[in-house]
Amino acid sequence: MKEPSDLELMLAVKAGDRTAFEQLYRRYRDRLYAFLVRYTGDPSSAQDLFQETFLRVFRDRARYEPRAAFATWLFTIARNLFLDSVKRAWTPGTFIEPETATLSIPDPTPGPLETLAQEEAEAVLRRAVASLAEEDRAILLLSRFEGLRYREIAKILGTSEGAVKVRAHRALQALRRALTD
Amino acid sequence: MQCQDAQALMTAYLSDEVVSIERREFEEHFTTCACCREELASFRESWERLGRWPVPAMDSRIERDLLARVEQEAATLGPRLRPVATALAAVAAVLLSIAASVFLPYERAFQLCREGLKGFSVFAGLPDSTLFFIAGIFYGVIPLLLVGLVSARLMGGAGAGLNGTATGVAFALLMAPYVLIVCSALPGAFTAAILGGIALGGLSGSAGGLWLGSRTRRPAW
Ligand SMILES: [Zn+2]
Repeated sequence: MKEPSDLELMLAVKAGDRTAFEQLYRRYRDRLYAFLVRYTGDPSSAQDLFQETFLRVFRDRARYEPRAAFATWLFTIARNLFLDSVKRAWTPGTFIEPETATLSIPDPTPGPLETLAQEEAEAVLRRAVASLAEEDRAILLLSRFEGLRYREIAKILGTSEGAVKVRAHRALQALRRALTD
Repeated sequence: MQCQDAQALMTAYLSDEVVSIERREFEEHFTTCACCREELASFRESWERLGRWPVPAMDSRIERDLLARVEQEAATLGPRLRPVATALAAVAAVLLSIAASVFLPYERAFQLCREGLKGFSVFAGLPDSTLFFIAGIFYGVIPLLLVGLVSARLMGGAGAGLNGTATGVAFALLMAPYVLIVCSALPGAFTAAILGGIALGGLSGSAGGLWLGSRTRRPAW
């Protein structure tokens, strides 16, 4: 049997179909979670945002317009929730320190030395990506990991495709600099 | 293509965003320009390195939490009026109620009530209008109990109370002209009593039918 498309599933969710929501959820679960961990640099805020995003998808299902691809809609919600949470939480002097956040999560597979090297490489990446401006970070992650086109990313960011193209390049330049420093 | 143009396109090229003529020109430039080749290789290295960022594993508790919250959300959904379903249910109930009054006219039901209740001392001496009221209840409660039972099984549980009440009200309003015509020979107080009984019976029958129906229905969520 043919797998239903995101659109078909979302229309079913709109009509009140619970299993359709779970199907969509399973389809995007890992992608959204990975995006949020990389984007926020903090697993605990990623977890909160992950839940809030899917909850919002369910709550706002009636507002979903078939004109937008589901993935675009999902990542737009996730980003807006992040921006809201930053606005809410920010007080002078507070800053999410990525390393401390990850240190509190015990690694499920403590392994040999090469795991340590891997962790170090990951920490370097995390720091480098965290040093990017928020928009640049979103663009780079969405195009690198989610395989979204510039056209779709432009919709998520509410900007033009040309602007995304320019920013994506600037972001990769900045990342390269941060990785070689 | 100039070096400057080629450099500006490098990230887009790595993301597969450079197409057709532009892509051909871009790739041609590399066959001749070692400087840009080197630059692209360096961008590609950062691009690949970013891509090797392992996928973070998600705690299964988050999923359980989330699905439970969605469940909760679904249960507390605000009621939604379904006008078409409500109207259909009301019309069906009206037809049932009229059919009942054809087989058993209101006056006959009133007489049956009077005879049936005669044996109970509690009901002795009830005014006739009250007996008409009691008789009227049956013409409301039975049709709407049936309709409510069926619609609860067909429709979701959310908004059952709202839609059930709306059906009951619509039913009473639709019944009024019919009762007024059929009972035109009766004193006005009796007609009003029958109508009141039908309305009360309709509302309670609707609530009871939906309640019974939803108890046997599989949950929509
Ligand atoms: Zn060149």
